[in-house]
Amino acid sequence: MNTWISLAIGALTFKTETYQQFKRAADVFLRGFVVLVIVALIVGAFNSGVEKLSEAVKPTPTLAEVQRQVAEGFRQNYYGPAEMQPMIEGYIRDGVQMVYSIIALEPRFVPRGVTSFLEWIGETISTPLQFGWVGWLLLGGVFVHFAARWLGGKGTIAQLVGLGALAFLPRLLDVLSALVQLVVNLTGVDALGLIGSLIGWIVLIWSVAMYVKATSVAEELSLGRAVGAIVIAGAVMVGIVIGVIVVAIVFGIAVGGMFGAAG
Amino acid sequence: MKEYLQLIVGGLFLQEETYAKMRDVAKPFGKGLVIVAGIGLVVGVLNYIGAIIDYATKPSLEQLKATVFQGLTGMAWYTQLEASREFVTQFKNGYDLFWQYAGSMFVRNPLSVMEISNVVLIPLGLIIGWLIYGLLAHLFARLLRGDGQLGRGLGALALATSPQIFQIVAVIPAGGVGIGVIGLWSLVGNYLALKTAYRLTPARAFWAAILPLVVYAVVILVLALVGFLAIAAAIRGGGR
Repeated sequence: MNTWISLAIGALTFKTETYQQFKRAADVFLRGFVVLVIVALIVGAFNSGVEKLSEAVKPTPTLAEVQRQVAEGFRQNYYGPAEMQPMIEGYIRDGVQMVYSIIALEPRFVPRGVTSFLEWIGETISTPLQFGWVGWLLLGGVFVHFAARWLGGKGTIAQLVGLGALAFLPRLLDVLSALVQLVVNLTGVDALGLIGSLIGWIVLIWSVAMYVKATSVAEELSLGRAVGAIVIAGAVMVGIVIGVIVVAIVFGIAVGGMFGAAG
Repeated sequence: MKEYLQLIVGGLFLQEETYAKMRDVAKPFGKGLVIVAGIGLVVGVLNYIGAIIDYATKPSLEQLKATVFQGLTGMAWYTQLEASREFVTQFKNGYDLFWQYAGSMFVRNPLSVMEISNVVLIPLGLIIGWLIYGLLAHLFARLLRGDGQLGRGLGALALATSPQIFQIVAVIPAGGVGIGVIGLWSLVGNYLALKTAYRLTPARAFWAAILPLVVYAVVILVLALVGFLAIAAAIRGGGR
């Protein structure tokens, strides 16, 4: 336990020897993944718990309230013909009523409270395996590793993703964001949400700085080159996304043309 | 058993010495097959348990179907058309057909043929996927001047299927792995497997791991184009 705490403190305070010691472990990615799982489980349990608690404490909105809220949202974003509006709003009311009836259906065998508890466990356990956690770690790891090698990096991909996982430690502060959100949900004071935004920015900047440090140690690069590797990796990822969109558009136009010719 | 578990854990957590060990073991293909089939079977069985839990923790399909029917038939568009007996019959038939085929998307039925057969089909699919990818990767690794045998390559690549084990979190309601996470994790494993088994440079191993996926994408694109062309031809033929 002490080892993990001193690891977390050393990593959060950018101690080079902590990163280097971590890198030398044969099971560096396993250790990094454990760090990520612990952080994600704590954050996931709080986020999901806050959601469930808010649902339990706050009175369930009535059908009429939900219909009114959805209709208001629609009106604010509707720019179509005015004569169509009442008809669409009617469908929205009916649709909301249908969804409301579906949500009100009782589970077949297991009581709703137990189902809700199981869902909380499911959401919590799944958190580290979501794209925003281990998915980003691996995707970023692949691109940064090859960009780093191009800039003279000497690490392995396991070392980079293992050390990169340490950059998730600042996300423990998301627990504070979740608690702030709970207060917002219970009191209705939306202004408190600004504290959540501020925490979000601190987490982002701290995590990025730690990822630069992790890349620098894992790939044996200077901090400047580590930043360069991350920027190059980001640019390549954006380039690929744009490329895929262009191919999809060209494919869509080609297929559309075929159907046009057929018609 | 312990040896297999160590191999799976080592493969999952990208330990290069585990991939090297798998390359050098006796009968790497056989061991790889046991690993892929074992992972597939665990996932298949737990997927079935997930279907039972889903069935127990969700409303019945009949209730859901009746509620949606009530909602749809209460809407203005339906009331305007319900005077036509033909429309009402056709709508009811279409609605029943939809739930017959797509109902399992909303509530899983552990007694359905699909759920039962998935216990076998999941490991089978995993094995077939492993073999096809392995053959293509072998081809590209050799083209990229890799030095290795197919059996050893497949043995190492078997370790890269280990992230599939995370599918077991879907057993719990609201549980599941993020889109692309397993594929991405396996891809990194495939890269390590090819780098180790064929003694490739990192850049060549990267391409050997990616190019089979490019082949998949091209095949899917060609099939989609052929499908669209066939539909376009049918529309043209029907128009005459």
